[in-house]
Amino acid sequence: MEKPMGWVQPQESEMGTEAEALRSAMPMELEKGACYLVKEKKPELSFRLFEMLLGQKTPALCITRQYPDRVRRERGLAETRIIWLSHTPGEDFHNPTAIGTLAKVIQKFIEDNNGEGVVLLDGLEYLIINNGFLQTLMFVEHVNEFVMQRRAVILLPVSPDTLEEKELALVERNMKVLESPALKTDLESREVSRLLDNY
Amino acid sequence: MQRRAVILLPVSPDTLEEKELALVERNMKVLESPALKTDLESREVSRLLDNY
Repeated sequence: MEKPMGWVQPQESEMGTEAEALRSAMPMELEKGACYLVKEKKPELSFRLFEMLLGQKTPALCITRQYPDRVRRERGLAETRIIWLSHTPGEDFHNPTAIGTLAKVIQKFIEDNNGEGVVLLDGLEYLIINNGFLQTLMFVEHVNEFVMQRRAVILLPVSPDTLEEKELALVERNMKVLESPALKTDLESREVSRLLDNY
Repeated sequence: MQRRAVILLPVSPDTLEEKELALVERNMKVLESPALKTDLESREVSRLLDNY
């Protein structure tokens, strides 16, 4: 059985120590080789998941619509490669209409890390604005297919209100879905546990 | 984003569809009217008291 990256789920786990029991009570687990659609208005929880995986020394790539310097400053991601989705040329920017090469960038990053790693792709809505829904869906499915065969994780935050019901259902169809309130509770429980452990 | 300027973009939420509003909000910092009004008024009262 594949070792989880740190997020545990109740099913299939034997109740061992008290700590294991606590861990198995958590509602979710991030498995390797999967794309996670994080449904939230702003990518707050996705960044927190990303930072937690980064803390576990997972190779990380951040692709975002937010300005990289701000992300570095506000998130403390000094060493992480951040690609800016933008039409404005600059250091490590990526044109949002070039989704073919964006997929290649993601694939290369994962290949360079022996099929491992975490990629935060923040800006699905911006990709849809620039490429249309179907083309963006095809891009997401293509990346998903690639990741399935490796041991990497893609985090894909999306603001559900920005999509039609059918569009959201199509994006969700072949992804693991994380819902904002449950995820937030889980992350906060873990943070409290960690603080108590270090106390 | 790359500069140090600020753009203020007032919008009446009722003039947009839910999806349109969500798209506009997605990559912006959002200030909501009642909370912002209270905050501004508190500041004005504080300033008046300071100058009293």
